[in-house]
Amino acid sequence: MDSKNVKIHVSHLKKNFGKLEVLRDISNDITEGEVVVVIGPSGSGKSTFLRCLNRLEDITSGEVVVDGVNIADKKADINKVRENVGMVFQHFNLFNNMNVLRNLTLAPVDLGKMSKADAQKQAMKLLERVGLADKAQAFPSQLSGGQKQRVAIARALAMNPDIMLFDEPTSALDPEMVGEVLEVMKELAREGMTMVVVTHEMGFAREVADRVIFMDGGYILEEGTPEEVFGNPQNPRTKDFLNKVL
Amino acid sequence: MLRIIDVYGELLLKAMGQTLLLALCGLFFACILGLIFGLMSVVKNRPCNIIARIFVDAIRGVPMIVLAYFIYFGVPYLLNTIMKIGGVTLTALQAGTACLALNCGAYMAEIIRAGIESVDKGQMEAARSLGMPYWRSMYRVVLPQAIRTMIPSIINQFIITLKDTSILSVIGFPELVNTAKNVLANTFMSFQTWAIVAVMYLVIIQTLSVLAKHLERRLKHGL
Amino acid sequence: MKKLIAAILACMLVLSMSAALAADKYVIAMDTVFKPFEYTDAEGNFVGIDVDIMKAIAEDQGFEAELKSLGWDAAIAACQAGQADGLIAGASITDERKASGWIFSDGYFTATQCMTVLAGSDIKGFADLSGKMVAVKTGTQGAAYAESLKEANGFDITYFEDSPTMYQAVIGGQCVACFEDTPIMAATIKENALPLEIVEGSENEGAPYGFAVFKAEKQELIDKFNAGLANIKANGKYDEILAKYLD
Repeated sequence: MDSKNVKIHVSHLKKNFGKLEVLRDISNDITEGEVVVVIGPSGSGKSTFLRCLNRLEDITSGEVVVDGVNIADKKADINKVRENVGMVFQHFNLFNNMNVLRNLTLAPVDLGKMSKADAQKQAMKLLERVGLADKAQAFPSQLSGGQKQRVAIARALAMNPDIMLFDEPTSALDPEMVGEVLEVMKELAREGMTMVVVTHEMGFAREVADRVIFMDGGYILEEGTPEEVFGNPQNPRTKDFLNKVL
Repeated sequence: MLRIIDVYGELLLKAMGQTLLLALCGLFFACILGLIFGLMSVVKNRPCNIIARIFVDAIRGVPMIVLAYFIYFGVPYLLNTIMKIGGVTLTALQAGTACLALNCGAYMAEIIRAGIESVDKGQMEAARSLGMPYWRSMYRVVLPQAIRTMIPSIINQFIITLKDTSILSVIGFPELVNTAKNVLANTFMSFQTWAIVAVMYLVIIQTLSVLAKHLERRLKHGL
Repeated sequence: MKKLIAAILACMLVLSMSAALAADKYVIAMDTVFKPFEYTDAEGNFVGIDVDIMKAIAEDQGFEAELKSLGWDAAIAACQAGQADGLIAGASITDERKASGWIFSDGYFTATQCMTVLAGSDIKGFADLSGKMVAVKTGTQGAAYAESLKEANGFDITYFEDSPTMYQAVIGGQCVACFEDTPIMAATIKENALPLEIVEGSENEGAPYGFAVFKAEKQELIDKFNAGLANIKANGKYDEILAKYLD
């Protein structure tokens, strides 16, 4: 892995919701092919941090450079950047008014990335990959939670992004469906996708992460390999948190 | 009653046509106004929100009969006499259409705003996260879903507006009520005339309701 | 409880007796604004030719007339429903209305109708109305007059519900002319200094206004009205009333 090839560069990122400071001063670099797992108690700012990486949240101050574009700059072409940054949401957010196939082809076709026929061919391949080719014509309301989330991953991949953001992708799932989603994510990681994952799945973090970031109170308090963070946490807050969740 | 139908049936049918014409013209422009002001109230832009708010509150705060007099008489007076732009006259159809469009448009704006806000904001975020611009996401993802929840309210508003055309009899538009008043002035047969008119309204509105139910079934997943 | 019921029964008894005592009381339905036949003056009193004639006849015939200013459409409905006994609202006596079951008194006033235009208008006669819009008030003889001229002169008619709106339509330019009873028009133009003028030679022959009842059992009220009308015409009261409003 070439550590010099930085995909996302964050420096002194601050985010306020009105008077509430959610992110106080975040700096971090994420390199190509790296799988970064962000953990921390609820309200720690980890989801907000993730959502700043494709500017779903307006950035109060600081720099977020994605693929060489500083998206904190209001003039940046955010749509162009987002085409390369896939996102998977806690609540799936599949387009309820379209069937699965249309969910996957909408953006590539609408944004002129590919022809309808090509998009459909690619969509079927992606659906096969997540094991849902037989659901192409189904509507989201007819799918289980795990199936929805796998479709959501496939939809994000349909734009051929080089970065994938996961915002608590398994938190809204029934326990028996968590595995199927994590399996798809692990495979992605193996294929070398650059991934930032906010999750409570410590097992996944331990197994897949190249780096684990622990956040609390709007700061990154600790980071390191899974072995370092889980095996020998330095910060007392990290220890406290891990004691509670493990 | 039969004598009224015999002598005035054709006149009343023509008036029913005028009622429909006025309602359709009014509703057409009401949809456009409603969409514009409805979208203006959901976009992230303070001045737009405020303009939409003022429009809706101003129109909702004025009874339609007052609006009708104001548009039919007040607007030409304002332009011709006060602003000295000569020769502006409005026909009753133009004034009536404007009146219905403004009135119904304000309520439609509220229906559309509520409809859009009822769509989970994750839908917009998902579309945006794929790189789709705001208006494209609105058009492709949010609006089609909003319309489904809006349809019952929109149909309800259509029916109200259709009935509100009767208010425009005061500016002399020859719709059903205006014509009915003529018929009853000629015949002095009040109940018979109003009974016929009531049935005619009922027929129009029932037809609309049946069409609406059909449409609602067809749009199970949104547009 | 028993006392309460007794009290209620007593009240009902008194009420029904008073109703019986006032057997000679009639409810008369009228229009709201039909100047100078009925209108509300600056002091808030309901006045006009119809009002004064009705009061004078009631006095002459010894019955009590309760005047109700309901509006034109509602007045017609009230008589049909039996909510009112008679109607006096500047209603012209027509065969079509009689055919619907209405009974009219003798005419108490004969008005001619005329065409009125904006002062200084190009419209000098009916022929100038071709392709134009004309304002009338629903159910008036003016409306009937305009309808009779419509075909031959090729104009369109807009029906308004009250006279002020009709005048406004001519002043505002939405319509080029209106048709109205001549005395009313003349009085209104003068009184309000409206920028309107009556087209010379546009009058018709006129038709009489009548007091009307809907049911045959109200014939006695018609008889009383006719008798009273004859009396007030004879004793000069009638001329006095007309002079009061029509000058």
